[in-house]
Amino acid sequence: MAGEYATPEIIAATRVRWGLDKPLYIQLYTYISGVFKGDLGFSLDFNRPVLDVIVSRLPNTLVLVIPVMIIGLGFGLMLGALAARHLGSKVDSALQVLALTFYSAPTFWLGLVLLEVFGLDLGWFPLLGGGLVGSFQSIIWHITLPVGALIVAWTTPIFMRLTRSSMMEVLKEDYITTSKAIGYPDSVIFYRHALRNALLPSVTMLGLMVGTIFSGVVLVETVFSWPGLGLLLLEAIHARDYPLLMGMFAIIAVAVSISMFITDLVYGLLDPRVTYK
Amino acid sequence: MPRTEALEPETRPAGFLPSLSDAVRRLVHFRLGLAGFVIILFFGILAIGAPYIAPYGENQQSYNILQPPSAQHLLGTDSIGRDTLSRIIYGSQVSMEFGFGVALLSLVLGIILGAFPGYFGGLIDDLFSRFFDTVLMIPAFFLIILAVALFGSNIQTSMLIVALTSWPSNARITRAQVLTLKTRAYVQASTVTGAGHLRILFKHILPNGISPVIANSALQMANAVLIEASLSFLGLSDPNHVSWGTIIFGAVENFNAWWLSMAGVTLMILTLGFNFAADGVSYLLTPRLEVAKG
Repeated sequence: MAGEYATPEIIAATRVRWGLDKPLYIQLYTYISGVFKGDLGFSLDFNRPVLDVIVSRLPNTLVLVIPVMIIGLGFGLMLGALAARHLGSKVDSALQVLALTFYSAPTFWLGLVLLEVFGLDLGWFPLLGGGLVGSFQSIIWHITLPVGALIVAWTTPIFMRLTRSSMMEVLKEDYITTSKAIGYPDSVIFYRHALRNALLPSVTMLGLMVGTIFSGVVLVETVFSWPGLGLLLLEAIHARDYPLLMGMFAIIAVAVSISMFITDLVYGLLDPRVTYK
Repeated sequence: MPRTEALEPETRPAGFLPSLSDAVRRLVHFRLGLAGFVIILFFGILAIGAPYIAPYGENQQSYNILQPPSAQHLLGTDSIGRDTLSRIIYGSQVSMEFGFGVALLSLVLGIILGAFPGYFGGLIDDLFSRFFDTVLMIPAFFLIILAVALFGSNIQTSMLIVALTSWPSNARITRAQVLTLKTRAYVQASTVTGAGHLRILFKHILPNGISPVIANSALQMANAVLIEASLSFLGLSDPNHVSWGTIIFGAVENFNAWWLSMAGVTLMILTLGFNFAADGVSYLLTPRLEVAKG
């Protein structure tokens, strides 16, 4: 940190500057009391406050993750409903196997294959770079492949399997039998009565995913050199930037807690049977 | 694919272990599950017999660098002349070891930490359940990357860390199983005959409630294999052993399409095998399950 040829004076000054001359428990106290005041410390690598560094990278990750969630949810619901509509048929089996295959594909590898085919061989998309810079077209141009890789290998299979299995549960319920007895057409029962209730697990999953976003995003951001939080994590690890790592961990933990809380509240709104005291 | 007949009258309650011949007969009917087991077996043989099967050594170099596929090197060579096919074969060792190791550790942890709270109930149960919830909230992959980067990247350390973040799902399932099974009449009967808590738990309850946990373990193997590949792709793996993630990473450096595709394909097939096997296990061990038809 002080450089290779630092004199003892410089080393001592550096220790004082980062508070390393104080005992560990004082350092811990300083850090924790700082966290509660919104001060996550100072990044060693970027020489800026940790919070600033994270906030500056956050939009890049969000712009990647939000389309992945929404489009993946849409595709997943459609395909899951399709599979549930033709339960046990060839369409269903094919969709199941296809979903599992893509889900089993490592996201980073799929990203690389997309890069190789569409970036290098066909030249339709750029090989690296991204983030929220340049014109709208440029952003779309850069974002297509990473978003595509995540949708195909991550969100769509998850939401598809979830929709299919919850549709199977819902279709067994009494009120569906009642609707059939009343004589509603099949499609009305299926899409209007059953599908709406089968959406609930997907809502929960959307909330739970906030915690797993990182596993998907770290690798894809690495492959596409997309300057988001995932890439930041790796940069911080390579630079041994501990304040930044701890800060990111704290922020993610808070984000997960908040998203779980919101999921619980939304669940109560969507399903009147769930009440909170 | 034909619909599987799961409709034959079954007198056994769900969750009881089937006899071996019964299991084989049912497995033959359930093709996807069978495919899963065959795939795992294939990679198992590949991993154990790697020194005999692989045409070249794991790190054997030659002057033929960056070769396209040929008769000598079926999948070509990398930037220091190592045979890609041999490296992929040796790479299965790490993947299999990692998958089984993590699943086993997580199984043991999950069963112990799930069974006791479920069986004894009360305050212990409350405390442990909150503990599961807390561990489940931790962003696992983030923690794994962090821990591996900080504490060193040998296989044992990373296996331990992945297992430490993945046991709560096993514990939750075990707890739920124990909760339902402990109220059954046969368990109460053995309590009346004076069997001790440990005997009831390990002899009567766990063997009958273990099947969903085993199915979950197969899913965890799939997950662990992917995590291992991801870690080694990021350069956080044991440098002494070749792993499929390392091969893919090497492919990126030279942008060599051949090995890029092959190591990824084997990775995908193995993961798919574990996923299919998970379906197969849950189908095998729950006789009246109609869900998994393929």
